[in-house]
Amino acid sequence: MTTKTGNDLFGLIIALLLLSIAVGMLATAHTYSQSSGFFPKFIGWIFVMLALIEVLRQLMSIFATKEKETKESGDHLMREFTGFLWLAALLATLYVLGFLIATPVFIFSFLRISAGKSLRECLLVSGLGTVFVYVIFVVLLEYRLFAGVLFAA
Amino acid sequence: MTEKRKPITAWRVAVLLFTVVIAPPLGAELSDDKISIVIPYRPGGGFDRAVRTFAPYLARQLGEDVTVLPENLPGAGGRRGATKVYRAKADGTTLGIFNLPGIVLPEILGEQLAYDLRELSWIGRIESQSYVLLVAATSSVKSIDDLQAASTISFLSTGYGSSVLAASQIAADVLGLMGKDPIFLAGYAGTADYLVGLIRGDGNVALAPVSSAAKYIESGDLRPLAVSGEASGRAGVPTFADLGYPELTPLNVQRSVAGPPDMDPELLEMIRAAFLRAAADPDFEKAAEKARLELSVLDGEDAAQAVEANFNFYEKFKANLRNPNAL
Amino acid sequence: MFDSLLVAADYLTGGINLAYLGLGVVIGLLFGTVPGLGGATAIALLLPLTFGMEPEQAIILMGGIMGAVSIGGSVSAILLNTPGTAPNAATCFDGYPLTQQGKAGLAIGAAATASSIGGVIGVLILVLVLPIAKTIVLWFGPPAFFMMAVLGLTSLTVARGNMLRGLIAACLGLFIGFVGYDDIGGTERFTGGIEFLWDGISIVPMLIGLFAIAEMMKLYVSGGPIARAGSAARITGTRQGILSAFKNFKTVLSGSAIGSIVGSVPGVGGTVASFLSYSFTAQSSKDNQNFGKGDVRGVIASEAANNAKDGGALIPTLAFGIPGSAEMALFLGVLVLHGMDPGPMLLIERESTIFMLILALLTATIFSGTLVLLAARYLSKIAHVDSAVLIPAVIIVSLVGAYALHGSIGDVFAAAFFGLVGYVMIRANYPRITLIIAFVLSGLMERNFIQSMIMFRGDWLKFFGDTTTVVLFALSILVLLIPLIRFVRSRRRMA
Repeated sequence: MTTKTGNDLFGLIIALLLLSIAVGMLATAHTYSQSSGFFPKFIGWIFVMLALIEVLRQLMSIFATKEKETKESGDHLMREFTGFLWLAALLATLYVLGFLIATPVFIFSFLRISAGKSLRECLLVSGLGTVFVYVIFVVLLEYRLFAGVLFAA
Repeated sequence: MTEKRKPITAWRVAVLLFTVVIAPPLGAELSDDKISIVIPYRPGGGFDRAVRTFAPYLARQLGEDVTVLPENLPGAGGRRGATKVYRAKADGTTLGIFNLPGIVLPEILGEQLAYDLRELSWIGRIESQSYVLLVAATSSVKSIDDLQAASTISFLSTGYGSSVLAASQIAADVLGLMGKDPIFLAGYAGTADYLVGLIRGDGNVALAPVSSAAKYIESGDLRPLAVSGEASGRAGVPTFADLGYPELTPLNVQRSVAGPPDMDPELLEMIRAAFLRAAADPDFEKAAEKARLELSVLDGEDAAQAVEANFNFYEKFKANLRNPNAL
Repeated sequence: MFDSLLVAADYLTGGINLAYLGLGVVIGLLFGTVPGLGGATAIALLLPLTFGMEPEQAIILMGGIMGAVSIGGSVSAILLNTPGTAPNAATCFDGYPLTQQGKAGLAIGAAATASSIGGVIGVLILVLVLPIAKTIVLWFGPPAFFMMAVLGLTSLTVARGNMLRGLIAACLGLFIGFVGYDDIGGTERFTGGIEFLWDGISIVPMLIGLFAIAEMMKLYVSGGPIARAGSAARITGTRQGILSAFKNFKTVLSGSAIGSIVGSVPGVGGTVASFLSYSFTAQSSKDNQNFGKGDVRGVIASEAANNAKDGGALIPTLAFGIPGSAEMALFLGVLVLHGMDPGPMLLIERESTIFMLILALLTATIFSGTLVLLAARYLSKIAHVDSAVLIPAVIIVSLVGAYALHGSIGDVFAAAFFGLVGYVMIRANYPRITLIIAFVLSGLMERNFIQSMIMFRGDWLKFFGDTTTVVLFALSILVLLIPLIRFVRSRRRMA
């Protein structure tokens, strides 16, 4: 359930994060020479002010709301977390084993574990996906896909 | 004692044949028959064109089964490609094409680099071209004297660290223009951009490599005032030396091929010889003309010396090369 | 001139050359559809392969690609809320809501038709303008480019949604644009010494991450296919879509005009063009409360512009050899590879070759539009595909696309990082399109401002000495005033 307004604790965290980015940017910009630093400083100040206003807005809306907005179901957060894990796992596999291995492995395990598809369907889709990537990029475009650090060494 | 005479087995015959007939020549040999030439820029540019035109002819001279593959590795203004070649194994399978003085400047401008150009094993130079000093065709400036009489001077060029800006700063000094507090309007994205800026009137003078400028001169949009190098090659355009500024003669842009440092001397000689043979191939010369390359071939030794000379030239003018717009 | 045109047409229709065109169109559609790949990547990957071809064939191939890419991109924008190429971003605003309502066919029909017509108009404008192309290019110097960026940013801020969040997203986008080596000041900014960041962040991994990956994550979390259950399963509506493009012909025209003009600004063109067109249509249409919720005019405005931009991008390219877009830059590389010298002489020396390109572009636009229309029924089924299959497929292909750009695994990680950023932005309700466009405008704005100040030796009043700049400045003020005027008017109506 995506909160429509984004006005909740999450929104506050994001606003604070943005504020810290803005402050960091402004501080770093001051170390640069005049022409390099001009625009970063200019935008930096505007960014800091806007982020500050947003933080205040979030704070005000959190304290003002009498009824708490529908709390994020733990389920929802869990799903976000697993989504993130899947992506991280894909990246790690890509980095170590390269595209041509990571593709079938990822598609297969995702379909199997996350969606519980039949073995046949998993094999079919992961096979097709790999063939597609291979044919288009390696064969037709004669491209060298990343082979993974394991093999490149 | 009677020795049993060892039969001349088929095996020994084979070994003999192999070492004498089939084995590659002793000494210099490539460890692989796939050679890559790293191009530190995106596909489609002048370096790309030079390598792709030259590669098949080099392959021909290196051996029957050898293929030479261009490999684009753009990034960080050429540093990424240069670093890769510098760190590659010195077995002749990785070479690179380099831009002088472009690749020399960062070091002179005080940057900490992951490579030292002077340590590379230089194989040969393919192209070299002079710089031409330009004004807009609509400008009232018709000679360097006119330029020196102008009330403001504004040089157009690409950004800090580029060869053109460095050349402009040196030229401004040698031509006695510094007294007018010239503007160095740097930061244009590419040569075509600042030449159009010159036509537009963003500034009043610029330097550019001859082949880039030629089309704008031909179309009547720009006027050449002088050219660097020993000979003009173009009617009516004097060299800087002709006009009394021989210090500017060494200004040029070169494209040379090199391998990683510490290559085996015999291997290097072999590749250098192949390079020269390929460059002299009449088929290559035809292809080069079709691709509009500015051929100016030098062998490995001379190419290496050209790097050194380049380095010394810009080192000499180091004081002129501070960033004019950093404030 | 006319006989060069005939020569070109004759060559183009010769057997194998039509096949090259067809091949280009198919490749363009494919690369356009896959989020992030786009025309520039296609041309870059194919460039070495053209080495053995006849120059004219290489040009026809490239023309085919360029004409088809935007149309391909509109398909993923509409079906997946993921612009296939950056200029398709504005198509997501109304295209995706239409898909969610089960009206994908309508959206695709309108998009393909508007794209084709827009592309044709763009080429027509190009041909009309060609004789004075040089003059037009010379109107725009650093001060004018800066003001154009300002115009883009002002349009951005009044465009839509929560203004504060939009401004913050814009600041973030501008900031990301500052990362990398600043070649005027000579400083490496915000890179933390990482060499990968020296050239700054590329738009392609950003686009892939912010849209493709983030959307797939959103889909994963929410579960279920894109089209909401219960929405009309009938896919017809394509015909309606085609008709709506003709019914709203004024929108097509304004979109094409804006696309052409803005597309001719080197380096920025497409993305800003389609967005400006969308903004303009949304602001100036009567009865505009449905924009952003599935108003087909939004799709038409955006798509007409992003095809017309190809004609526009050829203006500086043909006038002076300055590429009007990333595809053009690579296209110039193709020309150079085949011994043609891009510059003011190109049009004079190679008239028939240029006409061949223009004809190829024209034909490709119509051809690809037709192909998409024919396939619309099947394409819109994607909205009903099981997300379990869709998600890994889109993610894998997107990441391959991110890698294909520079052959750097860093881009893949960048894409994944922006995927995270994009998802957070969706959750916290910050507009991603604003971030992308601000990012695109960042370089244009800063570079030209600083160059102008160097030119003027710090006297910024001189900005107003340049006519083009003043005109653009006036337009920016106007853009800021429009919502104010409307506000006042609506208040008055209520009183």
